[in-house]
Amino acid sequence: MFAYLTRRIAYAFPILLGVNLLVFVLFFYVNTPKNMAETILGEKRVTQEQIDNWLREHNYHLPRFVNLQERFPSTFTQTIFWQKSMGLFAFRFGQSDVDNHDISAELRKRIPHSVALALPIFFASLLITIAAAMIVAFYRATYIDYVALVTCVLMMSISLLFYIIGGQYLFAIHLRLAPVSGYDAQFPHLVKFLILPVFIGLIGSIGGGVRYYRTIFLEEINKDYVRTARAKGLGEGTVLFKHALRNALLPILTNVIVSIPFLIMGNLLLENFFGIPGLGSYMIEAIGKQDFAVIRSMAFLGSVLYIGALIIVEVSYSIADPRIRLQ
Amino acid sequence: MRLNLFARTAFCVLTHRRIPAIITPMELRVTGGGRAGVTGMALLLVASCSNNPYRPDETAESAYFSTFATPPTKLDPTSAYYSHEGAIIDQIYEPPFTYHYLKRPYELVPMTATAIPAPVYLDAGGAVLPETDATADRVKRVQYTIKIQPGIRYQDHPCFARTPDGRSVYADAAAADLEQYEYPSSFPEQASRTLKAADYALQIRRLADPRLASPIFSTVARYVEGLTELQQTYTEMIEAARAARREAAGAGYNQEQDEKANPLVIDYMAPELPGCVVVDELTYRITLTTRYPQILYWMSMHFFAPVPQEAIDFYALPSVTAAQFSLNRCPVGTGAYYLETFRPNELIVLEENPNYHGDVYPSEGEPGDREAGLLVDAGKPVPFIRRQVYRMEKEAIPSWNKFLQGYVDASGIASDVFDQAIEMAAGNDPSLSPAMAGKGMRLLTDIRTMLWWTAFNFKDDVVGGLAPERFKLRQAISIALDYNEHLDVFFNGRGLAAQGPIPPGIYGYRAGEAGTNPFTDVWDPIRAKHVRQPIEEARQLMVEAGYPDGLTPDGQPLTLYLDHAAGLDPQFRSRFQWMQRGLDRIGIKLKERGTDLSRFRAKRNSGEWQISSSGWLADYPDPENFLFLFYGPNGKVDHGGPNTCNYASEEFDELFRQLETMNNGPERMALIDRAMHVIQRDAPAVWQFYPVSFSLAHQWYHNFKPHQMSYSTVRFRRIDAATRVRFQAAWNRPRWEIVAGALAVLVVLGLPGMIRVWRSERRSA
Repeated sequence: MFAYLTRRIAYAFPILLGVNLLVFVLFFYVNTPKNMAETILGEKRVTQEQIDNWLREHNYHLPRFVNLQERFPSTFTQTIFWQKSMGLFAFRFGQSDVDNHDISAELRKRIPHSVALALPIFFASLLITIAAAMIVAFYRATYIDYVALVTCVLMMSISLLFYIIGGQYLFAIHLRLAPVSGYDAQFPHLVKFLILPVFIGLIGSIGGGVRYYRTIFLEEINKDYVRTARAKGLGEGTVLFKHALRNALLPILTNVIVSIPFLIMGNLLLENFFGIPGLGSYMIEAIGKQDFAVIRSMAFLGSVLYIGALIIVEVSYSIADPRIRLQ
Repeated sequence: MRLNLFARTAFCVLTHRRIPAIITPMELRVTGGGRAGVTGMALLLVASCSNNPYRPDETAESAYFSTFATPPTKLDPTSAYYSHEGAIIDQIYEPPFTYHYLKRPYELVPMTATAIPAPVYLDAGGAVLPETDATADRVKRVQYTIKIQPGIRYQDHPCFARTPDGRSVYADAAAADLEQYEYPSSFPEQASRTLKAADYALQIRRLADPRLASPIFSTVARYVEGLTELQQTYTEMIEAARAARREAAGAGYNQEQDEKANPLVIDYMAPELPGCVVVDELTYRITLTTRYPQILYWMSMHFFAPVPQEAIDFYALPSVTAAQFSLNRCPVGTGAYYLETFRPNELIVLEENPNYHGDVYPSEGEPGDREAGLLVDAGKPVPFIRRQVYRMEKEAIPSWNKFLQGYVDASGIASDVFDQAIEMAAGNDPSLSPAMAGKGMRLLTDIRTMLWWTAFNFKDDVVGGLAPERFKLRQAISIALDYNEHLDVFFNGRGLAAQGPIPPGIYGYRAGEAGTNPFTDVWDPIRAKHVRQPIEEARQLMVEAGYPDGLTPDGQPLTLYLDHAAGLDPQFRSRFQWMQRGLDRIGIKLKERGTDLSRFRAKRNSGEWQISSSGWLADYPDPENFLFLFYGPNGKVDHGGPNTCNYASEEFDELFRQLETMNNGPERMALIDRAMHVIQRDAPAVWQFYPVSFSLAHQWYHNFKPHQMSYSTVRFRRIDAATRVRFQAAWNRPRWEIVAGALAVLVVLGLPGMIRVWRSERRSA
């Protein structure tokens, strides 16, 4: 397994380099450093000299990939790509282009806020959706199943934005049970700011989750080993929840583990509407301000987390199912 | 305890137990600790159920609560330029002058200076010229000598804390030791010192630091003697230091990261700057190369506020830099407040500065201020408010709802909620809706010193140029676009149709009939407002312009293009259609050419556009600050200046040159009138409107008068915290009875099903 993991981690480097390159090309060929400077410096009283100074201060005056005015190895190191992107592999995220704040420090500050919101949603959603999906699968083709189907489709069809605005109106304004928005990281004050966004995030995730897990459970139910278990005279509950559930663990694990990066990267809508200073709102702000330094750092971090999660999924397969060997 | 169906299911899933718990009721018991935990969590959740976004008793203090939508990114007085940044730092930094809080038109008053200095005009030989002889051609130097008040002290700050041998007490601190503090206000060692004239001189020099990209440098460098040369000297000093560092570091040198870890410090005071000289400890002198009375307005802004050398040195310490403290995020000032917490994406807190030199509430205002209760606190020491709390609200609706709940003391009015807040009866002034009036709110309106216009590109072959047929075409377009209607449709009437580039509140603006644009508007005495001339006038102008019925000489409809970068603005489409309908009345077909902002800027810089919208918010209350936007030598394409229209009229330019540096008076007013006539005739733009700001204030928020020029006005405002707490409690009692009723309905509706499932389980067992 060690060799396998080493190989998988080694594979990650070209992927990360590719992601870096893609983000770089997309950003700098669609939007030049000069455009960035104009956006960041603003419209009023900006001269060409100020734009040139800004580019100089942020190393954007350098060539993109090859600096022919320098001797090797500076030909490659004194370029925007090297100066801005290669440090990421050492997790040196550098400074924001807009206000020079340290991106690593900002990530450290914001990740706990994103996690504080996403973790309760994640666990509560997991608990409720799996339990509800099993109940619905157990009562398949009954009124409970039909009602659940309609309810889930309805819940999936409604935009999260509607839940947010409706939730704020109902719980914060009409019932006066939670603040409209805001955040206070200190416990227990944190609780009252998280109740509503967590509840709304939960409502927004239940519909799709229940349908997904129900499909997995029903797929297992039609397999031969289930028929065998029934033939042995086992009760329906035992068949479903002991045999079928354990065999359905792989897709559940996949779904759960690949969700982990999103827990850290934050929820764009919920964070934005509830004023939670997490990574989701960080990304939105960076895009709005054309802060390439933050965008590339977030893209890189997202890639690392996603690749890491996929490796963990593969390892967890071998743990959940002894028949799977990592070679 | 008996667990419900979901909990039992979840329990079984997570523990791999047999699920028959669902179909055969099974008692699952949790431990006493678990029970206490569950009960505690439930109690915490219930106890947390309140819509109050603050901590208990936080609103009982003399504190002001507000929101902000855009995080401030620059708090350095050299580079901060946007209003949301000024709203914070203008309360911390004190330039020598400020504006009177109540008087209108805006009037400069001393802030840290002892008086507003009079200019001293010098001729080529250095002799003093009397004001009457101080014509632009004779004046070779202008001096302003500013004397500051003695005994003004900075806020307490770690940069002033010194060891007995005069070193900073944090000079040898490790970054890890400093990282435990969220902000400099929480450092254990703090000190202060008195304000000196040298602090002002230092800040004026910092305007020339190319790394700080001061937005006003290019403007003031034209006037302050030696400032341009100083920037060249600083650039050379910086480049020399960088070259040495790179030489030492080798090929892998990364300037940005290196200077983050080891800031490159230059001695600002080493080079000479003849335009700013420290006369004595409390006096400094500014020397200009020409007449420029507007310098006093610039000197009332934070760009000219003092910065202590200790702060520059402190923030250059590697440990302080590594702990993420900088002058750009942690200001050091002498103002009524200091920044206590700065989390730009969450919370900003300003606290009363205990070292504040003191000021008193003004005893005079403009007519009506006494009746409005704005002079009740006359002569009392300020600030009244001890603490200001700003919480981030990116969306307008949550912020508005918090205002309605009493958790925000004052608010603007978004278009979405305008009808909820304001009643606009025909012919009457706007008034509060009964719902708002019932809550004791007050409505305050103020015409903003701002202008919106639709620009024509003078480099364009169709709409540009000074030939009579061209300005007649532009006049016809101006008449066809009725901005009174536009204001009603899109802005709930919140604005005043513009007659020219100078807005109300700025010297040179003429109100009423005298201010009518004779080429496009007429004065309606019944409605007491300007209205567009009849559309027939526009059609006649189209004939004279060579486009009868909007047709070109080859019989094709005249097609014009609106260039914009507003594709993502949800209201753009309807505004564009409104413009299309307006121009359709004179036969012009309007099409759009939308691009992203970067491409739009490039088009504007190269002059490859035809019609587009622009806006300008006044920096200071002088007509020059608006008319310079149309001055030929400021043309965007030819000179890279702010004149985006590229309008170049020798007649206008000559008038502008004469009035630009003149003191206000009848002679200047006459020149302004002539310049206005020229620019109204040439119509380089459709003058859209001057926006009117609508603000709502709760009954406990006193002395609130909108101010368009200064942000350091919170110190004059007062909060009645006891009243606020009383109303917040009355307006926000949780409605548990509705929750209980809803739960009861759910139980009643669900009961038959639960009984059926329970019976089915019993049968199966």
